[in-house]
Amino acid sequence: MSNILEIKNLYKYFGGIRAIDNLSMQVRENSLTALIGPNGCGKSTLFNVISGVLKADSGSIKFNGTELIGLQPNEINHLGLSRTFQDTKLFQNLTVVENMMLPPKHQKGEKLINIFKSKEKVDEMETELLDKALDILDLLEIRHMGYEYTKNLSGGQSKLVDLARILMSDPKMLLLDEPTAGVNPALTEKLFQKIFEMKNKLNLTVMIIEHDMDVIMRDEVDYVFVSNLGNIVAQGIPKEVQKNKDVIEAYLGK
Amino acid sequence: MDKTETEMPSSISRIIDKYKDFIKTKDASVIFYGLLVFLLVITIIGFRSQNLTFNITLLIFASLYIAAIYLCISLGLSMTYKLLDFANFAHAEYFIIGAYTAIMWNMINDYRDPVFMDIFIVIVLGFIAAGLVAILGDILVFKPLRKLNSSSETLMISSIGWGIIIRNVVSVFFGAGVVYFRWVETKNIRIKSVRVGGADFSTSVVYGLNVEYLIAILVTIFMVIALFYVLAKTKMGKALRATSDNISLAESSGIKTDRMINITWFIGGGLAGVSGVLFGLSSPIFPTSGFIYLLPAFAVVVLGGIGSLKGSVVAAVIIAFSQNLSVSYLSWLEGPLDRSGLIAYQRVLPFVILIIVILIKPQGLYGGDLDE
Amino acid sequence: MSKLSINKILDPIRIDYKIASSISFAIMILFTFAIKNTLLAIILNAIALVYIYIQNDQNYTEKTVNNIKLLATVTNFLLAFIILKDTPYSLFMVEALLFIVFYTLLALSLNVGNGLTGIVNFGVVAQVTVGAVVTGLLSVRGMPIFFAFIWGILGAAIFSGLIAMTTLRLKDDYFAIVSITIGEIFRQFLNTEPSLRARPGSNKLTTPGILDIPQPLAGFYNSTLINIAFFDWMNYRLFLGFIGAFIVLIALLIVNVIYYSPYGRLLKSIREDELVTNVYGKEVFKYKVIIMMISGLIAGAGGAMLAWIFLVITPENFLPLTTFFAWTAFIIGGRGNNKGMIVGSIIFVLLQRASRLLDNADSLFMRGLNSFVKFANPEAPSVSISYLQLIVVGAVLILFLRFSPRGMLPEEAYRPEIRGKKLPRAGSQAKSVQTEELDNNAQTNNKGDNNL
Ligand SMILES: Nc1ncnc2c1ncn2[C@@H]1O[C@H](COP(=O)(O)OP(=O)(O)O)[C@@H](O)[C@H]1O
Ligand SMILES: [Mg+2]
Repeated sequence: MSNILEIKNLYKYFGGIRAIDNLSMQVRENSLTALIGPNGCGKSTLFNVISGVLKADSGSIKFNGTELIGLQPNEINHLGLSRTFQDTKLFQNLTVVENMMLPPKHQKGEKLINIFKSKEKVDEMETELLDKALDILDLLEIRHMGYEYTKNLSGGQSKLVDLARILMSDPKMLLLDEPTAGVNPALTEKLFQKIFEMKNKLNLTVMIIEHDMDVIMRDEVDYVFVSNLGNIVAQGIPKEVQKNKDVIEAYLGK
Repeated sequence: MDKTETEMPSSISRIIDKYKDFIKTKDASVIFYGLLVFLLVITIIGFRSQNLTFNITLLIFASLYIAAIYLCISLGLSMTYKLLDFANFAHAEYFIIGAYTAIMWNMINDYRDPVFMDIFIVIVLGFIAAGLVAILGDILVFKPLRKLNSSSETLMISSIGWGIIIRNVVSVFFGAGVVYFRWVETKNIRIKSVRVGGADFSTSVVYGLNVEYLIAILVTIFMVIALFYVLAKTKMGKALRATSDNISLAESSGIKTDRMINITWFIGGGLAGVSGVLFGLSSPIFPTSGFIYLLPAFAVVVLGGIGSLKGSVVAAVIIAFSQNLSVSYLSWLEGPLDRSGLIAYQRVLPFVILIIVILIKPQGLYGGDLDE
Repeated sequence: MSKLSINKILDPIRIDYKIASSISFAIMILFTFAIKNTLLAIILNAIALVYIYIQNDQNYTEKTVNNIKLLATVTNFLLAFIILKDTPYSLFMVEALLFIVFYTLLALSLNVGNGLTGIVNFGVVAQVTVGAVVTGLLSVRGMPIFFAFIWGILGAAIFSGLIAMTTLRLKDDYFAIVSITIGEIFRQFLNTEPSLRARPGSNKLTTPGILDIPQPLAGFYNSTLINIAFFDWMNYRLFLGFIGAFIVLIALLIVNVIYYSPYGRLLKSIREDELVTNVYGKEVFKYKVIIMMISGLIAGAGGAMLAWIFLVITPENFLPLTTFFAWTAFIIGGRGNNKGMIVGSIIFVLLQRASRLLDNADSLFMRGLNSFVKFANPEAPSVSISYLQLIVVGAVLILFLRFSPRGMLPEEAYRPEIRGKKLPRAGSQAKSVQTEELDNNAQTNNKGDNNL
């Protein structure tokens, strides 16, 4: 298996805060990778830098061989790299279906001229997109929420819709920032199952941020990075990492 | 990987980014020095034509006077902007509250001749009246909207509405025409000045300094020092700064933030009120005269950096001086360009500065905290 | 492939609404032109509308209710128009119509910019200025009015696009400040620049302004329409109102297509969260520039309308107050709802102008007010009604923002409906057992560190 994501010597400081400090990592294609670390150690910042939301100070990020540094977030998304946000950022005043119909690439209706000139084609594409959205909602068993405004959803429902939305753009790789934060344990389990299911069904590479250790106890996780103070302090398959002294220190030491 | 899927270059954003980077980084200085050289060349041409003249003392005092007015308005604007995170378009109306309070003092004391001391009474009254109206505005308009978690956009729109209400309530009671503050007759102070430019290049002239200008400048300096002292040294000032930095943090550390917000409104509105009084000393007042100062005040706030009082002081002086300098250039340029009325563009100069600053250095000179 | 619109026609609720609205219009036309008893018409129409309102209204979608409100407002305005046609108030109504047209265009422009895309544009009057000045100048200099108009709106669009390109990257409040500032700079240009002063046949004016601006189709009206008996109740200003209404209609159609299309959905996402839209692969900036241009196009048409209404434009026509009025009409109407812009403008203009009908120094109200003012300030000049108008407008705006921020006609959800795939309506979600169970303990919502 080849590496889909390669990060080399990445730096990102916020004034005095070293959010990312000479970080390097590789993520293998079709793997399910977990990035764990205590709160405030720069995990979300890493996702922000990868997805182009924040500019890195220096370093290199290669996705499928394409350098991401310097690209706009939309360009990075078009390469097939899609992310969620820790504080589930759904479009509050739009319905679930509308939320989901935004991410697909190369929509006919994205061009102003098309919605006046080739309305038929736009409608056709809309129908396809709606079909696709409904299929994904079916997969996640939340079809009944289709026309609900997302501001009316609970935390758990929002996380599911977030997942549904990110799948709409046919990504190659998903970056999920604490997909189960604030969700009760029963749903957490369910959410993870859904994520694994999606990953296998759609042949995705998935990287998950979690701030507690539980996630590395899972069989489905292929590889674990442990981050602390903006750097990777340990990595390996879950079984190895569990035994790693640095990890235990990082977690139990605080 | 499939290259066709990686197209869609974000052409426009790319170009704009490049151009912004260009300005922001090393080349900003190129533009800046380019501008300086351009000004220098223009100045030399002007001097050689013997038509560009500056009256140094006039320039200094007129600019300081304008700076004082701008500054008094912008200090409060800057404070509330930082604290509540919205641009209050009604702020300039607190200016006319101060000005018309002075007029009311005139009316109440109709039966006697004005005395010198009136000015100090009026300054205090103007401060209190404008400060109270500012608090009233918060209670009636902004606080309920904050409670609803309204966006800063909503707050901005409602502040325009609130400003229009104030302006027109004043119009109802005083009419839309100009009114004058009656005060003791003052004589201009005659001081020596140098006029640079013209045939002899430097001529010494006598300049009659308006006492009202001097009062405005001195009162403003006093108030700014007092404000800085209160903010830096008193317990209340520290609480104010903490609230302005981070409301929720201040709240959780036991500061009564609601009270701090009211105090900020009172001080901010009051300062604007005083500037209205000071302005009314030497100029006619009408209900829209506050609005005229709104955008220059924004220019000062933005150039200084939102929330930075020190920045506001510096910015007010810079803007006032450049505005007054521009008068000399514009009136000279009317000749070579064969145009009349160019001088009116001096009003636009703060606007242009505002836009340029926002484009090139949106955080301003001292973008930062209240305690700087 | 099924067409998206089929169900719209089949939807029984909409049929109901269509019948009701047809009846309402039929009543109006019938009684006005055939029976000539407009008072009866207005009463019957009101009854019909109330009936529509009352009839099991929980079954109506938001859209239907909005349509009914629009219908109610517009028909009743038109009826009032017809009733007052032979009275001294007819002039008032015609002027009101002209300004309704003007503010509808401005509000519509805001609705594209802010209601749809979330741009805080406080520079509406700058766009209006460009539209008015370009149209005015070109037509005064002899260009045919239609082409002058086209150049006017294109000019406003191009100008808006340029402003957007340079400043739209800024924070909302900075953009607001910059846009209001640009309006003021323009006003100064208008005041000072000799090249922006003109009247037909002369370019050397000593005072600012563009005078004697030709009005559209005036010749046609004078030579043709005035002689047709059917139009005997029409005067040119009313005719101009119809021209304006026609422009509004075109703008409305264009904006409506954008609104209820994938393009509109994209713009709404930008409004909701620019960053997320960008992260999901859309070049936000480009869309914002395009939308500013469209909003400039519409506000520019408003500017041309203003030039035609006043025939003379001076810097005083372009005070920031106009921007504020446009925002008021926009907020009252309901941000995000195009039909709402008509309702908002009607309400705003009547609110602002109706007080003119009270402007009678002898009225009890004015006498009371004046004596109160005189009591407070013996030297006060007598109160002008225009101050009261502005106070009322300011207060109404603030009250709307506080108590009804969604406006008279709230935004409607975009719901692509496909045959055989009907989903439950927004707001009527019947939670399935499964999610209820899942969410029982999940009410904590996500309180993660929001440091992004
Ligand atoms: N935009 C920002 N500006 C300043 N500091 C930031 C910003 N984003 C994150 N930080 C800081 O960087 C550090 C890492 O944050 P984050 O990446 O969110 O951590 P994690 O996701 O691992 O909990 C924190 O100390 C946080 O306060
Ligand atoms: Mg995080």
